[in-house]
Amino acid sequence: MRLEMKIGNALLKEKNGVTVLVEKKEFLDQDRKKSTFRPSMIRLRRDDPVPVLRYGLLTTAILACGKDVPEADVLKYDLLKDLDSHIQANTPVASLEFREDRLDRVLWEALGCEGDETPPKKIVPFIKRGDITNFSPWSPKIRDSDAQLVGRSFFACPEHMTEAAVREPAVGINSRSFGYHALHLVRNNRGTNVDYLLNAKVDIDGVEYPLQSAILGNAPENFSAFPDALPESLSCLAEALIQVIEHGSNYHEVESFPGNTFRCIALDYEEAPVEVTPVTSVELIDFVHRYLASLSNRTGTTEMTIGDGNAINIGAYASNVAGHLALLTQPDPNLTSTYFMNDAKLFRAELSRLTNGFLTKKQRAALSRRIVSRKEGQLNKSEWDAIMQGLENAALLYLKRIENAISLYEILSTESQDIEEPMALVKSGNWPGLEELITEKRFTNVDVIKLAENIFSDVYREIDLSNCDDFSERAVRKLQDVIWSRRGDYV
Amino acid sequence: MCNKKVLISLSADNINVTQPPALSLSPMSVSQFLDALERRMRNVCDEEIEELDFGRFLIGVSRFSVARGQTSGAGMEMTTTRKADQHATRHKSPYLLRGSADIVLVVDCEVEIEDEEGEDTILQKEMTTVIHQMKFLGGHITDLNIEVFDIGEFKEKARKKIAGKRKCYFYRLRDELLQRYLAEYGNPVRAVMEASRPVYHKDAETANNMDEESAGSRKRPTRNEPGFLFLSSIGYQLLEQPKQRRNTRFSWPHAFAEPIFSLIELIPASKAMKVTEKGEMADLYWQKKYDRNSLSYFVLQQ
Repeated sequence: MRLEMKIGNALLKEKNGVTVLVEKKEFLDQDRKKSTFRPSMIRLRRDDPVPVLRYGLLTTAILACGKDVPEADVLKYDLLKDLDSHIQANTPVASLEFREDRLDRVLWEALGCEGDETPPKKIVPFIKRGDITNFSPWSPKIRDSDAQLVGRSFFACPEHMTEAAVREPAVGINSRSFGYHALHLVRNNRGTNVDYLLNAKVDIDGVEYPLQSAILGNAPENFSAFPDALPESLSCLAEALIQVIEHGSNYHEVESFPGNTFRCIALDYEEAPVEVTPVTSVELIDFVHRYLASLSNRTGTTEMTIGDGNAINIGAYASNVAGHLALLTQPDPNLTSTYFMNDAKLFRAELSRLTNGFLTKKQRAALSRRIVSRKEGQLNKSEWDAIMQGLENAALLYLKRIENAISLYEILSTESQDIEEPMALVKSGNWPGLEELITEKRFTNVDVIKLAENIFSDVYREIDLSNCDDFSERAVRKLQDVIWSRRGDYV
Repeated sequence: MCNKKVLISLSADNINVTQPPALSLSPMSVSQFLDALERRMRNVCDEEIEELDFGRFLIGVSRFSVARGQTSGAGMEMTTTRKADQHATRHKSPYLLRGSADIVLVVDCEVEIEDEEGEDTILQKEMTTVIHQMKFLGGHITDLNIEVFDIGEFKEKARKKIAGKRKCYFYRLRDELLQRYLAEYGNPVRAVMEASRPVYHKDAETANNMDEESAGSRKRPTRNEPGFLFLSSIGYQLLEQPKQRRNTRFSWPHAFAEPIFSLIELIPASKAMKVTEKGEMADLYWQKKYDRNSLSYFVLQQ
């Protein structure tokens, strides 16, 4: 197996059985010719762009955090160290033997470490600092508004609405009015270029996998667009990365640290002054508004500022589009998301602004040329069909599982007198517990076992059932978009 | 304690303007400016002014212009070369974020000053001094005129001053319209689209005199015209209970919050003053509210 990992202008490749970091001049020149300023996510046409972006931004957020502090490299190292510790810990990742995989070695080698020796203080950075030229003044920082309330970080999901999530303001609208709780974005004025991450690719046996797709790829069906099945190691890497991001120290640091650069205001909260940091998920509304206004009146719009007069956060905007517009998708095709998604020109222009806050004149010209090209960016009908079909399949799989579970529940309730325990397990969604109960052969009904197998077989394929939390979180994350988009029909 | 009405006419440059399609100030921002003014006056003028309490306020905007070329970092820079212009024209929405405006604020004020005879003068003088040291929505105040009126004489004296201003519009909250559309369409995006689309709206109060045909047929209106409905931030909803965090001012508790938006309609000053005569001017006064249930803090017209 040939293995190459390309991150920014650096290339990690295998030489004589050892993975090394390559930074050749020729390679850099060649790379520049390819104009890497354009994020690879735009090229992911056969994937659902929404989770790609969301996970991409989630990933960038944590790395952007690292750039905020002077010791960025140290933080980056910590990030990778977290990743490694996750791999070593008793997590589903470890159960899939990720430790032995070469990708692990790639990352480990990138740190300049061998074996279990103590990592050197000065690590090999993914990308030389001098290469980071396009600084975007707004980098997305993601926080889950209800994460503190539910004690964990979920994406929007109807099954996990909390009291706070459904509470709407007394007047007006905000994202609560849409009925979901959102990932909010916190302003960071210092900014970081995140292209190197967006451009990260892994080349396995001659097939190039964007790292973002790997991050997305914890659901195998999402990878139907790729020629082969997703390499397990890549899936593990993605999973580990997400776990690191969500549970890493940096992520929580963002949540708990308003920072000097944030625009804060004070207001009277129960007669006591409170400092407030506005977060910007409502700009979604503005976007739709602005875009539709621009359709009818090309000169009638300018940029919006939020709340206290702060400028719009393009990162937040794009992230909103990425993370939330899908949730607003209505069965009615004439509504907003379709408008948006069909306009590849607008979509890509805004995405470019997200990832390239400042462009050189040459880059802008190149960008504008790309924008007018219909070939590269616009999703055609068949591509859309493929995406929608994949999502629909995922949703149906999920619903089928629920259906099976309900049948199982009914059978259990009729067969057994001692129904309380399985009922409690089913109600609480504790599938591992239920499975344990059944495999202890306390229920001998064939139907029960068959149904249980139906339920658990695909679960076995994907995840480690030893961790119940992991199951629910992963399943939720995988299917939430589809369930949300079709909630009118199913939920 | 006596009640006064303070008429603050100010011009400011490089202020943070808000939101398409109408250039506007966010009422919440104005409220925060007044809060800051009140806090400062209490701190600075504690010798001359014994007690001070700001209440309701009116927002009127008479001139609005945008400083072209001032862009956010995230937006595009306007360039001068021809090629770049051509490129810029592809983006119809350059990021114009800062503008200059003439603003009229009327603030209800409860004040207690020792020197009762000269209380108007003292209040005016102190307020002028303090405001000159402040920024207005992030911009510099270039012109300032403050007049203090008794409640009784306000109608007579201020009416001409305000109504005489050319193209001066007051902000009227139309949340009920937004809620109606929300109930009708069920989808906030759709509701906002319907309510704030850039045509004269038949539901706009100032367009009531028009028959529906003419109202509907006049498209592409100038933005800052009466009857225009637009979204603006009217408050914040706290996303969490405030908690102690690092780097907050005066170690105040901190909370992340999300802006609350609602519809606002422009009411011409002359009409607003006519409304005043009918005793309905109170409708246009903004008031601060705090809703404990939803942890939301906003300004409202009642």
